[in-house]
Amino acid sequence: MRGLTKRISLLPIHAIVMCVTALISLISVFIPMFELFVQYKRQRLYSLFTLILDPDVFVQLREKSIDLDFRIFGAWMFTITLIISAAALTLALGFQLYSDNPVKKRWGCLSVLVLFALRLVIHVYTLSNFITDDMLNRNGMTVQRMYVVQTLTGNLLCVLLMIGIVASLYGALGLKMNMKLLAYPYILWICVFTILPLALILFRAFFAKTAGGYEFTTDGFKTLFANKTVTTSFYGAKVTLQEYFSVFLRSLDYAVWTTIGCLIFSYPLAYILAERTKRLHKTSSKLLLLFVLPMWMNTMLRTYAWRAFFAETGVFNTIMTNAGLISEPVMFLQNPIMSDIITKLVMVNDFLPFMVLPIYSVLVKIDSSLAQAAEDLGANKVQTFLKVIFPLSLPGVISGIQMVFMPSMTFYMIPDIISEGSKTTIGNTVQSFILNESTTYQQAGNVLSLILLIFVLITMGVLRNQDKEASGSGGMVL
Amino acid sequence: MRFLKRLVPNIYIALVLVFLYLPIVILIVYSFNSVPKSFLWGGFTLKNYTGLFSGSDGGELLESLLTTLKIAAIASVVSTLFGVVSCLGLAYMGKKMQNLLMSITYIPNVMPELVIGIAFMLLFSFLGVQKGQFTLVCAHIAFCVPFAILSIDPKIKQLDKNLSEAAMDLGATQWQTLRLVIIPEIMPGIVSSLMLTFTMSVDDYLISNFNVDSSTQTLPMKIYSMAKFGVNPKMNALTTILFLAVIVLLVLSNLSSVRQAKNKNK
Repeated sequence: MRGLTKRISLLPIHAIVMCVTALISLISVFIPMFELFVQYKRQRLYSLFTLILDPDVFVQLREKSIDLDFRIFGAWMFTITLIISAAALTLALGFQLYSDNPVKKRWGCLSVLVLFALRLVIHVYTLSNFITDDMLNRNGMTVQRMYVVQTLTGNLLCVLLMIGIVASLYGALGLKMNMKLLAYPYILWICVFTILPLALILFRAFFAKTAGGYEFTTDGFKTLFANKTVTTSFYGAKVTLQEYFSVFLRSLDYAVWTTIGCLIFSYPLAYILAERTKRLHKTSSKLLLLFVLPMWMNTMLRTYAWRAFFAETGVFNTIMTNAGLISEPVMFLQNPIMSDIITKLVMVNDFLPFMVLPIYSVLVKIDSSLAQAAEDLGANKVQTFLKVIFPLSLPGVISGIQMVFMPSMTFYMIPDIISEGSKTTIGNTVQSFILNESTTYQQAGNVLSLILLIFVLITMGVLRNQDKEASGSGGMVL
Repeated sequence: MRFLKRLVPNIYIALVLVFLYLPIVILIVYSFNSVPKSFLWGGFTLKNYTGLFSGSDGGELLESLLTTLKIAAIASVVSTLFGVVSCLGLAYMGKKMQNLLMSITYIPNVMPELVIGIAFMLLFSFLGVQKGQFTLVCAHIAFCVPFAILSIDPKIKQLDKNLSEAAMDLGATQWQTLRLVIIPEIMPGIVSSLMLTFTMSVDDYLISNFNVDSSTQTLPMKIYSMAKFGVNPKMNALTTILFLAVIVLLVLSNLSSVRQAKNKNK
């Protein structure tokens, strides 16, 4: 028995991945993976095992009942899958644990590879042949009205099987473990989930999706830059602007003021906290946690709480009237200028932690002997701050601005809730465009997201001098 | 004068705290409100808590809560695992390649969520994947991975390479070195990555909104759509409970780290 545990602890990583995959594919025979939909309603969940237990299905619909028979199909699929998975598990474990011959081990890996590939094929085959044409005809259904989809676990199983195939391929080729190899999946990942999506934004701004493929179009630009003006009030003044330019300007207004407000509030705060931390000779401040904690409260509900505070019958007015300080309620939200200020205030409230964290993490690292040296050389407090501390803290400020500026420009929920939907910002414009049924509007949404993307890249370029550790500091505090 | 010097910063801190916690206090107070969907105060009641998951609205809340927790659990575990593996590989790459990959990793970090959400939506439509829970999970994992890498990478950089070489010289296999030397050393990074990605996933609204079909709703989506017809005090009650759970977790983790520090000193 001790020999066995030792052998297990000596297993190479690819063998462990193989064994785990084989084990899970065996267990997955009993886990529901297929969902039967009849007339857009989910009727039943199936695993291959439940197909055996419960092969006949009668579903009572409003007009008629349907009757499905999975007896032969289910039995076949169940048996084949069970055999394949059990064989894969035995081969994976057996060759890796009880064979010392490297060539035999490689053949073992190859056979496991074949079995995994078969398992994947069977899974897909089961999915596509679950409902045959015969069943559809007998029940008078169409493919749209009766179909089977994979559940989340089914998708995960497919991903796992692919990982297993890669692991066994690795074993079959007899590759030596090289730590560098571990980074290659990440490179692939970056290509698929970072570069490709951003490239697609650029691509889709000019090309619309049609039934046959993609087609060049400038509809989006036409819709977006259409010669249509609206009159909006801006700081109390009435201005007539191009429709979407006014939306853009308003978002910019919110973003700029949110960033400035956050800076004004959080710089002294971060400074005080950093001084405290240094004075107490600690590495990080427990007090800082108090300023990060509000991030865990749902933003939307916090915004509604602000509305409850400022509403006509809300907290502020109730308390003030009862105390006799004001005779009639102050209409905060109905007054356009006041509601504008409140929106910005709420946004500052929401984004404050994102500004405090990076500034704090830079300030706390500044050696306090630098300030002492400056004072020894005759600088007064103000000069020391302006010439020594502030320039050194600039990376934190910049990454703070990065964390606040663009998100506050696109985060449309707060203006939406405070103004009850009367203030459109760039965020909900994009959202309503993209989720629109009409392709012209979808195209406009794609163009608008391209513009946003360019805007982000410009701000990134301007604020190039980013302190990398500071922007990743959000996680470090936890 | 000295007293005043101490006092002013403390007053400032207190004021900012009041500003930050005012909405949270209001939110918690309203969770005890007996009048639903109104800013009016109707009296103290506990029925929002006792009947949290009963009734049709409670059932919907429970369902979306479970969906959110399930997705957050998958996303945080998978992205952290992936982060650990990639960071290990990255550490053995050339300096130039490492810098290039890390600067690409920062791009999603500074992108607004809205743009990321749209980008993933376009990606899934390009790949021909039907929107649903699977795309939701994929999108969550995808936006969590950069954050996982950014929290684990500094710990790997701090790791002494001699340590793993020494372990191998002493006869440990690669797997044993990984399990017994490297993983314990980077554990704080892994824990903070798990917590960060979990909370990011739970709190996310914009990315989920673009990458899911109408049959699945996460808690933030549910709250946003329900709140349009008036804030249900049950939502306040639920978020209050979640908030308290976070506080308890943080206190516990702080206590254990304090205890560990004390043990080390002994």
